[in-house]
Amino acid sequence: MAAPATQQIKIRCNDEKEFTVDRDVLERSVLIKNMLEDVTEQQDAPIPLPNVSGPVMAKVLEYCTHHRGEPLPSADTEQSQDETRKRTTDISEWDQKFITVDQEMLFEIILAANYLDIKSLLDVGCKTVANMIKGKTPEEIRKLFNIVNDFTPEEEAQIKKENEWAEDR
Amino acid sequence: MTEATESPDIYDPHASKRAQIDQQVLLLQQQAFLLQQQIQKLLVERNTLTPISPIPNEIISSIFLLCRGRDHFDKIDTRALLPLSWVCHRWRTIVLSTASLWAYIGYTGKENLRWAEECLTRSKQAPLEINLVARNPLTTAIGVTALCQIHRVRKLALYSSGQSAWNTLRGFLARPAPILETLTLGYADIATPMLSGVSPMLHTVVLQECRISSWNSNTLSLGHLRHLSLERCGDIPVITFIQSLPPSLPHLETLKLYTTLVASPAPTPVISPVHFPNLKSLRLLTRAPSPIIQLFQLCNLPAATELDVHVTMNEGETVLDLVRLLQAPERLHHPPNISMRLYHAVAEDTDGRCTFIIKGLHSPDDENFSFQVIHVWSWSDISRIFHSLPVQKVTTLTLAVPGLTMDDWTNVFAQLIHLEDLVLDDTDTVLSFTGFIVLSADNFKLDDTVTAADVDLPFKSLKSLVLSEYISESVAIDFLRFFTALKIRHDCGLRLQKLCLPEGVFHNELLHEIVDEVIILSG
Repeated sequence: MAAPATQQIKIRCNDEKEFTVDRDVLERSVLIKNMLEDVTEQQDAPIPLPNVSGPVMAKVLEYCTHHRGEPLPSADTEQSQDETRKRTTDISEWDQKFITVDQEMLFEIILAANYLDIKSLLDVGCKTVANMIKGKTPEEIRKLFNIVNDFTPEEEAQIKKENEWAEDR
Repeated sequence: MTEATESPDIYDPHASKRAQIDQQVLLLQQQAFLLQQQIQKLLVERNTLTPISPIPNEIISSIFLLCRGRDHFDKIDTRALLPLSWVCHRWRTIVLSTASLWAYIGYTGKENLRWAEECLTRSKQAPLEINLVARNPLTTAIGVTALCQIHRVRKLALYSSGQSAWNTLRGFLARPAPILETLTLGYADIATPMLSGVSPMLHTVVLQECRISSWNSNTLSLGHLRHLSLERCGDIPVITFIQSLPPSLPHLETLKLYTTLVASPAPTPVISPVHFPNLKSLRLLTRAPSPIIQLFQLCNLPAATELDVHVTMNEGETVLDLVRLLQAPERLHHPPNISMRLYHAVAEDTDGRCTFIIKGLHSPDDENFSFQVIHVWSWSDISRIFHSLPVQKVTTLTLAVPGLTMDDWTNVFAQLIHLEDLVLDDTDTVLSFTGFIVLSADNFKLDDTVTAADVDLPFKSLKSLVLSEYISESVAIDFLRFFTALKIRHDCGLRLQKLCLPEGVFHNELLHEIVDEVIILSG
């Protein structure tokens, strides 16, 4: 007996780019999973995703396809996983390769993962940024993210004081 | 009388000019202030146009949480937050307003008391984690400051090597800890009830090298416990400890008893066993096998419990004696099909150690008795064990034994007719094994069409081989000859499923002739 065909779902991004994707791949996103569960009848109209662009969605779908079939975090496991997540910034080899993108795309992926509620992808994004920051001086961090020092003189004075007592033994 | 202001030229000829300059400076300062404000606004606006700026604050704080890191001792470095708070106005606001970032008190060697106080203030009322070794006045003072907040401590690890430090800190542990989930105490002196019995969330207790002069059911509320570990607490025999537990610990999943003093000083009175209906893992380390029986009499375990028993055998006793003792059904409250991983050491002062997994507590004479030898470090042990146990039942074997001879490989290991997984975990062992393969392979050619019955060699059932050293091209060819001779070839239905090799200069393609999967172990 042939295996039942996987249901295909259409989505539309904010740049009108459309994707037709297997339902189980899309259901890595809790947002879309809930949307699909709310719809009882078969719908041909694509699901609009106004906060995600086509190129970013393509990356997100690459991630979801690779991780399809893996168990989604349940409410029970979430707390212990949160604890583990806080402990380590290790990223698997595939995820590391996947997330090796330019900064703009990295932050777009994080935003999309947050919007679409894909916890594991959000984790990969956050860990990547944390790894970029760790061990750097404020100046190095500013340079990395193209941020400028915008402190008020009061804040500068506070920081100077903070630096002094933090170094006291 | 005339006022000085009415005739300035007489008494202060420059007053007017000064006032004028003052006026100008004031004006310029006002302008500079306005310009500074404008610059400030522009800089803030500029920072909102960077790629990272659209990321919401709560995600930025999650990233900062990851930046605090944890070292090998599970310690967090909150000082890593300082550079983050010195980057820009937005980052500083996030760092200072996220209480959970600061809810950790520890000592990595850089903190001072002011730092601990600042962390406590910045963490507001967030649940706290404390991980501290109180070994000098500074760390003890940090401990006192932190433990004043025990009402909001969620995770507490406190190690105190000095009696005076412990005397200072112990009083705080008598207070209620309503949200405490994990308690680890090291080198502590436990004599009085702790946490006033008010710790309804407590699910993990670890006591390491604690002095326990008296322990009873009032010492600590253990009703909701999921993990309990008693490690090297010399003063309390494990049996006494188990007897002090409630009749049932329904939530307990792991129980770890690493101790030297297993037997109770007086003969153990006959009492009802303690029920552990959800226990998944029991790890026990002891010096002698017989007290294990005493312990198992007191513990009613479910069949699914994984038993890890580390035991140093008495002189003259073997693992066989222990298995025989354990399999006597009237002694035990747990089902006979329970599996046990047995770490066996012949004597405490020798390196000789073996690890077994005993499948079911059947008698070694029973046909259902089976076991795997997981790790062997000493040849004298394995030969002794092999003479006392039905070794033909061994399916898994890891060897890290220097000095093995051809005779060992051809005679002793030839008995392992059901061996499926072989791991050679030491350079000497791999060399002696490959030496054996090379010598054996000399008898075979690649195109030999011998049948399995023609050759009488060990490892006929071998499915997986893991080597800690890579092999040379010529050895690979000898492997091929050897396994061909054993008919472990695809066309005969006999074939090695897995061969793991470390990274090396050579991995011969020929190996794929006899192996389904060659796995290269990196590092």
